[in-house]
Amino acid sequence: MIQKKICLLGSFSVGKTSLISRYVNSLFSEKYLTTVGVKIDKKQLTHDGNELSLIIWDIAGEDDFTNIRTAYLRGMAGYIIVIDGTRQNSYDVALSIHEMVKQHVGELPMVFALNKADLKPHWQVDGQHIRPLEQFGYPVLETSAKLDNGVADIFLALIKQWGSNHD
Amino acid sequence: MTVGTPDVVQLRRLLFGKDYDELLALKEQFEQSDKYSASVANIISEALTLRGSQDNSLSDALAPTIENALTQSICNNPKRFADVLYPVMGPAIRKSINQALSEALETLNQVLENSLSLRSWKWRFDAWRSGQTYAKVALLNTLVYQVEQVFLIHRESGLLLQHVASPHAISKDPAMVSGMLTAIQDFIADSFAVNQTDTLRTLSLGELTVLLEHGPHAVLAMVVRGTVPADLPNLLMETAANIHRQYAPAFKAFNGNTEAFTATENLLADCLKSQQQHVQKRPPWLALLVLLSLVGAASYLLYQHYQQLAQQEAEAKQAQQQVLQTLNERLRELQTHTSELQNSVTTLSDQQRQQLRQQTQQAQQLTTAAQTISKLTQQIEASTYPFEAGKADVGLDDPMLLQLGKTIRELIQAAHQTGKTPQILIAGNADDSGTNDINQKLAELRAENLRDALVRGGVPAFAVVAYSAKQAGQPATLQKNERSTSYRVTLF
Repeated sequence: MIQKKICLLGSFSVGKTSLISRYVNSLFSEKYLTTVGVKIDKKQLTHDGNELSLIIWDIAGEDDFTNIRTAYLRGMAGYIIVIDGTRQNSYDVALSIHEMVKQHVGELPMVFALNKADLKPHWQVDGQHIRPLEQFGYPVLETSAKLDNGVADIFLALIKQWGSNHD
Repeated sequence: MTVGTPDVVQLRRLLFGKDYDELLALKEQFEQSDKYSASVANIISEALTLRGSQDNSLSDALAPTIENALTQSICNNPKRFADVLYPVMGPAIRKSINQALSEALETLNQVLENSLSLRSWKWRFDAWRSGQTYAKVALLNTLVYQVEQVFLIHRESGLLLQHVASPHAISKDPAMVSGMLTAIQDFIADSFAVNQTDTLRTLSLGELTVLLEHGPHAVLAMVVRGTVPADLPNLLMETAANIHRQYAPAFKAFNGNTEAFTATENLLADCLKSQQQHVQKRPPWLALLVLLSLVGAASYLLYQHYQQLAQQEAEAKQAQQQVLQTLNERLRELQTHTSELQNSVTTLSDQQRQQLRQQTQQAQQLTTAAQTISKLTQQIEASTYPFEAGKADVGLDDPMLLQLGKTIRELIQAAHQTGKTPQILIAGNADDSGTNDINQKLAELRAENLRDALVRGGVPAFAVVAYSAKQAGQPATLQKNERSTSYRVTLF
């Protein structure tokens, strides 16, 4: 059994908790409940014949990224930065968080998740925003926790990185 | 050191002198395994003893090897171990059985106490009220403390390395709990800006206390319910130190794979301690009481059963005696009857004899009477009275006539005895002289005269009938050609 700690980061209300809830419990709720501090979930799966247990830290989104408690990030094997496609601000926060994590923890496998793909007509994040993200060299995937689109893919994209360049 | 030209060697010798040779000898000792083994063999026992006296690390280090060796040895030759263990197995089994029995009694007592005592009903009510199981409420009320769970947590990532829980504890997903415990610590350390080296040591919530021991690589967390005893943090510390000592390489190599820490389970399990409330050790009164009641009830039932049996037996005997008595009475009655019967029979036979005698007598009498009658009849029928020719007079004093009268009376008497009445026919005869008419009349007259004479002489009139023999219809035997009368006796 291999255990990995991963963190979901991002601005508030981008859908971190919803993505985890969809991934772990196959549930989605329209109701918004803000996460206080941190919430931890577990997802067990088999990848390439290996039993894998993901300990998913759902870290409360903050407006001011500098306030993210870096202590929560210790020991993580990778992270997912969630961006709300309908909010330009969440994209800016994502970039800041990415920079901050690199400074505090170092280069780690990560994935950018462009959430709320079900509301694509209202998106403020477009191709010109996405291209710089792709230049970081990490997967950038569109997701919808509501429609269960690409949710498992973001976690799988992270797991694959451990197989290749991170142990 | 040994490598080099002879000059260099020479130079070394000059520099180190005698020490150089000693150094070479020492080096040789380390390099040649047999020599090294010999030197270690000299001190290995002392070294082990010395280390053993310092701490328990030797036991921890040797335990897996010894376990493997023992397993291997038992697999190879089980009989040898069976032989070795034989002398200790018997007493151990006996002891175990004794203990099991006494524990069973104790358990029975506890069950009874739990189900009967007022306290237990209160607990039941509490359990019902709080929606918990009775067992849990009872446990909580009797425990001083119990270590419910022990977590071995990777300090950096908060990943769970190992987890043990006591049987009664309710534990949620330990991997998530482990993460939250780490997050809480991070939160507190971060929020209150304490010194970076300070760590959270205790969490407390109601009856629950979480003791945390931080090592360089792992955090050992112990969830305790109840009052934490003073020695528990020490135990936690020792265990944490022990784990760090034994698993230092595993911690360094940790990449999320927890298999390397599987063996820590035993060390963690040693921490699952608990202490029951000191209950004054009482003899198991309730259990004994119930047992005694059972025994008492059983003996009472048995007693009753035997009593009933005895009563039945007595009744049977009484009935038998009654039957015997009745039978005896019957027998006596029968005997009485028999004797009566015998008496009757005797009487009857007496009577019979008497009757017989009487009958015999009567028969004899009859015979005698018949003989007499016969004799008298012959006498009468033989007698005759001679009349003078042509006359019919009868002399009353004639001896023959008197004799005849007497004989007839005797006959009548004798005939009476046999219940009969004689009748004597007097037939008058006449000789052939004279005419038939005269003769007939003469014969008739002679018979009548004779009859009259006899009646006068005392013979009853009914017994004699007179007629003429010459009369028609008379039997010829009576007709005689003589002047006489003849007689014929008939008995009615």
